[in-house]
Amino acid sequence: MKKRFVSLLLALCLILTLAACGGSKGKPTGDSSEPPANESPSPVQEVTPPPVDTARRTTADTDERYPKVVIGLNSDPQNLSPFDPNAASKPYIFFEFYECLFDLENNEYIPVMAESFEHIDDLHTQVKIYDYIYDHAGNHITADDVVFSYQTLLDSGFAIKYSAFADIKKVDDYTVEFTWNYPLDSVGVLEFPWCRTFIFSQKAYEEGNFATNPVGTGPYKVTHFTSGSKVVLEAVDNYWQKDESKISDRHKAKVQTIEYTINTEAAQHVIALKSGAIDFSQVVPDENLKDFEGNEDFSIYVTPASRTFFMTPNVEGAFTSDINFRKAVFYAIDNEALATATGGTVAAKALGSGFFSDYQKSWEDEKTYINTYDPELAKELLKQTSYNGETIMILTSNAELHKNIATVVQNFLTNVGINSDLTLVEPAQLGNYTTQEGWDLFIHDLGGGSQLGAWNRVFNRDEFANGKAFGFIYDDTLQNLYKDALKVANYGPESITELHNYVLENAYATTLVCGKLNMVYNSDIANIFLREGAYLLPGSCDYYLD
Amino acid sequence: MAEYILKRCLALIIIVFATAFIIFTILYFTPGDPARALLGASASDAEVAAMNEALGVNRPYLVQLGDFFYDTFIRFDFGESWVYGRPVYEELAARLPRTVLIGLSAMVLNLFFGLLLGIFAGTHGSKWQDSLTMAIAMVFISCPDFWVALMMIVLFSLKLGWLPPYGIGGPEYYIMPIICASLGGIAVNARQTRSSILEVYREDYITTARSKGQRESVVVRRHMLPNALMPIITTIGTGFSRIVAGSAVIETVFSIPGVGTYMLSAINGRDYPAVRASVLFFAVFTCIVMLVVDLMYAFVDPRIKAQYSRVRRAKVQ
Repeated sequence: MKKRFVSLLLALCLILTLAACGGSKGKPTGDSSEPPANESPSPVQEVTPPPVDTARRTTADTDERYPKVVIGLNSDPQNLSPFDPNAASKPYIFFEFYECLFDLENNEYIPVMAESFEHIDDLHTQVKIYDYIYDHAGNHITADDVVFSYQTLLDSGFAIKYSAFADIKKVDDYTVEFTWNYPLDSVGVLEFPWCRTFIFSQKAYEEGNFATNPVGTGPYKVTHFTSGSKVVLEAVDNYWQKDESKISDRHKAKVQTIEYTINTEAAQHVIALKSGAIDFSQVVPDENLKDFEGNEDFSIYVTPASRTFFMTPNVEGAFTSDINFRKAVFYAIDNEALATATGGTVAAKALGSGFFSDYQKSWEDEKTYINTYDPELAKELLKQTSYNGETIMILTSNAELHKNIATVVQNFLTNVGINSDLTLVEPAQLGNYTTQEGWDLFIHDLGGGSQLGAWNRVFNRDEFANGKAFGFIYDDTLQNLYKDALKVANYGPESITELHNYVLENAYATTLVCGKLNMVYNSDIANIFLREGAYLLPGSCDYYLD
Repeated sequence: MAEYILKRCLALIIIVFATAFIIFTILYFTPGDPARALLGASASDAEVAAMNEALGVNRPYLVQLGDFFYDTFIRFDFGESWVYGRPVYEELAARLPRTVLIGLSAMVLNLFFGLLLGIFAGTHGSKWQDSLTMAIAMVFISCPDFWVALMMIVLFSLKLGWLPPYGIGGPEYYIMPIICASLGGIAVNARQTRSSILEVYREDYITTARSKGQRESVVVRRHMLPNALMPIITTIGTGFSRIVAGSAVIETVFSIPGVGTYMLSAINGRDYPAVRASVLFFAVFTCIVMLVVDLMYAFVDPRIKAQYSRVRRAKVQ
């Protein structure tokens, strides 16, 4: 008996020793004012990056490059083929070594490889490219390569958002002509054809394997790629664009070597930052941000992201077809509490995300079911429906954040007397359920370059095989409002607000929480540069050199 | 013996065919389409439909099955990964050495320390050394791999700064993954070895050996261990297969691009060619390991070898 007791004691000691390794908060500042571990911390809404120390020399002041920066990513680019630039971690990496004809900035097309463009008529546009573009292998890029790049993308099946595109042909060695399916009267219609289509040399593509050894034209070239582990880029010394005035901030090379390391675990990013294995991560969990506060070796920058979590009811559902039921559901949910409970997000106050430039802050001023939590009103509204305790189905992805959000939403609904079941599906397959009957509430996330772009896969019925908008909405007014808002002539706060208000009047959808980027980085980085407000371009950041 | 090996090889072929058929059928009837996984939520339904058409997943079941068997078993071509954009065999070949390195190294540690601890515990049956060893083994069996991995990272990377937290590179990158992958196996082997040692500990031939005045180490090495090895070999075989097939956890935590993470991302991305090839690889690998284990029986235990010889002689007569 005594021996057993001693053995048990020893085993317990061993467990405690192991557990003790993870028990420390690892807080570098020794701040004793942190809340107890069992308290839910309020989510960090926004933290501005520290100002640049003008007394110190940075890469902005000189041509000298910072030697090396290591970026932690939480998803694998999987391959480096010049397609599908929005998938996984590709948006972070690809734009350093591939280039398109144009960049998109605030819905403006900024020439990169294109020298100029001219709309010949409503359905034809000619684009002239620079005659001195060379890729990293020294191949001269001509109009033939541009046509080949477009054709290769089309053949790959990855040409999404290409509805306007009809054809491309060579006019002369440095000019191509685009033919459009319809007049370009909508905002952002060329985002994918012009700003997400990479141009590369036909010769390099046919001779090599771009999946592992891509040859681009950007300020960096790929020197190492191990899928699932790392990508290493080196600054190109003979970048084709020599005219500094024509090199936008997005195409700078202020650091000699960029190494992207991939680890899907956010906890690992925290450890890697602390141990110096990486210099930057934007997936630091809320609860770990305080580990870096006040530590002069790190800077923190928290900013909204484009990712927005919508909840869309099925307007053909047994109960969700009733506007009062839909409003009851929406009023029953406290977005602030939801953001606190789930972490890594901020509460939505209107139908969208403050990340987008066309999001209107004024939407938040009016009291709506999005920014108002009123369970009593929800119960009142519920009484006006035929609902009598039946179970409705909430459909969402089985990804951690989706699952957490859905669970909290389910609890809010239970509080007002609405019973629900959760149905969780694989993230990659969630989109397939949009046109399949059976669900009552659908929680999904969307992103994009603009608020209207994010709404596209919700309110634009042209996107769906069944000819109805998300939630089986068939509403001509909604469709017309969306299409009108998209038109260049109408695009602006008024048309977008009109659409926003119409959706809320009809309780067609709600926004629950919005994503945010929790960035922690080595304080040697003086100034962070984010492409389209979301994607770090290490080559364009400024670094302290002393 | 040769006949036995031949039979096992034939069985292996049948198993591989059956696995190929089952995995193909399961994937075919699994809901969801690969194009949506590839193109993401922002693609329209029409674009998804076009991609499915391009991938050929809309063709009839039998047509796709026939193509798959023809490509895999006649042309030895697993196809190109839809997600990774390169031939599946290239990606597997690039990743396999890392998975095998971790698996083999972990297995060596399993064997060495498992046997050592097991013999130590077994020969100290019912003493405190035995209890302590088994308590430690119990802790390692109970602790999930990923938790041990994270604890090790905190200790060796963050606190001590001795080892890199994740990634690949020099040998130092593999130390923690190998230890993590081996701990559970060491514990299982130690328990199995102890149990086997205790079984033979009081056998007559052991008592005879001792009564002849042989030293205890000789008794253990020459008499106990060979007789206790049979069940241990069985656990080694299954343990090795388990380490390799279950490599995804260790590879994910330590961000090691091996076959496990490849299969995981292939499953998540509905990358059918990669899933099929990975599953087939694991099936073949497990079959081969089990075959090797069976052959090891014969070498370790002369009775089994003799049994095969008797059967052959009987057939000849």
